[in-house]
Amino acid sequence: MSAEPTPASRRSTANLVRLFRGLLDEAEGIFYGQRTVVTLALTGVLADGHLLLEDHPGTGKTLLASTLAHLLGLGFRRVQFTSDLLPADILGSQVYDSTEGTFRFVPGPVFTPFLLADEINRAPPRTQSALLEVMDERQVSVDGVTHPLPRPFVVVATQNPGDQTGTYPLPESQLDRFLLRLELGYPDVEREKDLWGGEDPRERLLRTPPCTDAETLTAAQATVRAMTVSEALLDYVARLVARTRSAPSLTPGLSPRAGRALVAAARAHAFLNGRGAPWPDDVKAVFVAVAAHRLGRAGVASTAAELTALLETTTAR
Amino acid sequence: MISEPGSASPAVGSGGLSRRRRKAQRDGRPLERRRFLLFAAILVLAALPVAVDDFVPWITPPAGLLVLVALVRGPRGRRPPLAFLLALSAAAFAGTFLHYGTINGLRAGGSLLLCLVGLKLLETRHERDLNTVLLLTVFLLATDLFFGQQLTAVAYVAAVFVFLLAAWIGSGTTSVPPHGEKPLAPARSGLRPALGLLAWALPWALVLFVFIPRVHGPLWGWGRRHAWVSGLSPNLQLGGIGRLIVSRRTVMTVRFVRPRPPTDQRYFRVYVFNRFGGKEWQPSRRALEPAPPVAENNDVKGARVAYRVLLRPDGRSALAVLGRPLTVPEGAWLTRAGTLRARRPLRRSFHYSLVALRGPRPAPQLSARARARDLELPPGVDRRARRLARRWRRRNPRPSALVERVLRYFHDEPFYYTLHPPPLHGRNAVDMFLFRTRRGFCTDYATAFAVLMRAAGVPTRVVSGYLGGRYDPLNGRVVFNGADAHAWDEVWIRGAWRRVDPTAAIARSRISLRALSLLTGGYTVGGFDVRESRWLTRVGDFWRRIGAVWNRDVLGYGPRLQRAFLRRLGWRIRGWRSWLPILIGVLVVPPLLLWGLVLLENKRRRGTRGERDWERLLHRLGALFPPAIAPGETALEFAGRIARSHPTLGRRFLTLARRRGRVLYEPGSGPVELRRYRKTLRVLRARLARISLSPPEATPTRRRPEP
Repeated sequence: MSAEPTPASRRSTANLVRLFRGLLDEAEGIFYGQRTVVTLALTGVLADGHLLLEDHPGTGKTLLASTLAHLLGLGFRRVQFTSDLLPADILGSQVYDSTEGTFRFVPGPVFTPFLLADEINRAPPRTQSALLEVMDERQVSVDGVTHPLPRPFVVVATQNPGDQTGTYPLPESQLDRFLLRLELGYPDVEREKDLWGGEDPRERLLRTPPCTDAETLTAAQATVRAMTVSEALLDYVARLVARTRSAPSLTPGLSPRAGRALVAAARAHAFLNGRGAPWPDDVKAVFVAVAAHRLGRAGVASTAAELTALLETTTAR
Repeated sequence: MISEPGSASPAVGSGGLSRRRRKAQRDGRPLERRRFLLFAAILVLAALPVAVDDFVPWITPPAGLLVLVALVRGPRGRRPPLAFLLALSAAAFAGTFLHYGTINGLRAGGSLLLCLVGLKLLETRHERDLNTVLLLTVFLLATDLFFGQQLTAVAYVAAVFVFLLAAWIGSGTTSVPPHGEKPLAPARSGLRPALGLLAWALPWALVLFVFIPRVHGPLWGWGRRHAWVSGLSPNLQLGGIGRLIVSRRTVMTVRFVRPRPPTDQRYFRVYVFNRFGGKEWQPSRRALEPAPPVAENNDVKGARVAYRVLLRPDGRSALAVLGRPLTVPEGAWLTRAGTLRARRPLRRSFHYSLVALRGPRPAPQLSARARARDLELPPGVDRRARRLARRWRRRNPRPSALVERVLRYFHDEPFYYTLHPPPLHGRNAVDMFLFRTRRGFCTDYATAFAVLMRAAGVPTRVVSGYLGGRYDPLNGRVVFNGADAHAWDEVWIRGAWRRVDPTAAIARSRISLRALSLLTGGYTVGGFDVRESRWLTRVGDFWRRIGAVWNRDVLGYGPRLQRAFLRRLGWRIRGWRSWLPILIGVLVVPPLLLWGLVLLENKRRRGTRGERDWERLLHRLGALFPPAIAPGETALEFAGRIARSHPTLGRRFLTLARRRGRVLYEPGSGPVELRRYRKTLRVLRARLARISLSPPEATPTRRRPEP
């Protein structure tokens, strides 16, 4: 990065792409070399969406979130969801200011560009709903007063899979709010050995300077949003969506909103690959992450497998 | 790598190798046996009509043998030595020249072509040879039409042509079937496009046929009698009509204005003969002089008959006429003998309408010269017959009684009517017929009768023509075929030429007229003998009617009909200038329209951006680097897969896939990108075309990938 960064709004698309690809490289170095996952996570952020990370404890969910937040140069807050967490605890509340004798709004942790909602399924549904509403509307209304959230605004929620006691699984309607659902998986053995024996990734993260800032991210998101999509690609997306709707185990299939999310994610993915518009390759890359949690009635894992098979049999050219 | 069959020798000098490679490139791939057989079969089908029609016993069978040898050998093995082929060619030329006295012209050319077919098949080894075979096939198909233009012949040629076109197109497109499907037989996969092509071409062909100025007669038809219906000969020999009678092709159709004369009254005269040479009858020159029609002689009493004739061309100018014409149709003239002649030899079907008087032909006085001519017999022959005639004459001085006597003789004595009479040889052929063989048909009876009458001093002449015909109730026409050819006599009695049919006289006792037509088997449909079956008769009538339409409206579409047709469209032809707008209309406008269509189509195709070429490339790549691209695999993924095993080619394909993706998915990509994509596609396809799938293992790139 140059010492005096040019204003983000005036950066060319190619510059932006270079910048975010550099960010990916950095993130890959920190996050066990899991480029695919990191790419998808960044794709979600660039598409102005929220991420749901789902995997077993210790697979690096929090690390991924903090890596992204740090490298993007965004303010980062983390909220540990527990069963006694109340909506006000994350949104903020009116507090009586005794010195001035008035009520003053004290913003909750949600007023941050990058929010990590850890173990979101441990909070009661009421709290979950509050967060999910905010994710959608990007504003907080307390006692009739609306407080807009800062832009960009990214929520990364994590949850542990499996039947665990004391959890409140998110209903499908709310899962829909997450653009992408990612499973982190394990890194390959060599990388894992590096991880065990080498430097703590968190320390490495602290040493690494941020690659971008909020303004640049907003500009990149605007570029992604402005990307035109070809008819040929929309045809492909339509074929995919139609297939999910006709497959008996996936009924009722992807909703129109999900289709829109798919195209949005494909746009961001294309942006990261330096393309002027999404290609089927981009759609394929994000498809399972976009669709699995929205259709995962029969278990997300089996749904993902089915979606992969569906990708292989849907004409992509 | 291009592989030359049987090129196992590893160490070849670089010059030799490159020469060999150049030759291999020029010749194309070696021809597969199945492909060879397919196209050879089509070639043989195309050659068949010429071979059958132009059969020369000592040229056609050897040529057929050559073809057979070539088919059995197939496209493998050594080519026959050049000297051998040259010797065979020389033999073909020599044989043709010896047989025809020329190597030029239709029939000689046909024979030569047949020999060429055999020779070419014998040396066909490579894809490149196929071009010559195809060219030869097309040429032969065109030649077939010179040999026969009947509906069946045209249908046959069309069928073979469609077959050829289908095989041609099919074999060009299905070398690598998509997604490992079994390749369709080329002829089957090419059938639809072939028919599509024809569907495009036919309307224009029709327009050209209708509107391009017609010439009189076929372009290359001079001296060719074969394609036409063989008609009556301008001279008459003993045993001469036999071949014609066996023929059952339609000669003419006649529509009578009611009433229709009964069958045994329908004597259509074509030739009148009055000079007899002992075995052969010739018309006298005087009989062929022009004469005015009856009306101008103020002699118009008697029953009339009106009819319209459609005569098939036989390359001669004689027309058939019933009775004495009162008018002369356009393009024809009347002879002194009362026969009708066309002004030009008939090369197309000819229509004419006539009103004629029936009954005897008055000729009040015969000049001494004419009388002598009509009594003339070759001196010194057939003495026994003459003696018999003179004896009868003494007992029956009245000519009519004499006629009765002769007819009774034919009737009472064991004379037989047969189409296969024993040959009459020697100078005294009539004696031999009258007293020894007593078997013959109309020509023989007419001749014998004439000789007897002349010997008895009654002027007599022989007439050939058509008798009877068969009424086709479906279209109200009387159909005459070769079997209706007939010969009879005209005797000068009491100032008129009166018709006498000695054959009918004898035939009545044993063979009726009806039996006569049955004797020849009725008629045929597609080579099957049709006898007394009603619906088959109907099929025959229907077929004949189609044939008549074909003859009249298609083959008979000459300058006259064309002008009439154009007049009906409101366009009068006056000189060549009036042709100009029509010519521009049919020669310039349709191509322009077609061009516009092609432009439009190209524009539409540009939307799919050369998808076909792209798909072919994918198929080819899939065949070279299996597995083929899966439905869900994107081009980039496929390219990546190839690049992993074959880096050089894979990278090229990756470039292509990227360019294609940009063209296809990035709406802002301009024409430059499209051009680049197309160029890359072209280059890569050319590159892939050079890579052959040699059997055991594909060796796709020049550099094998490092393990």
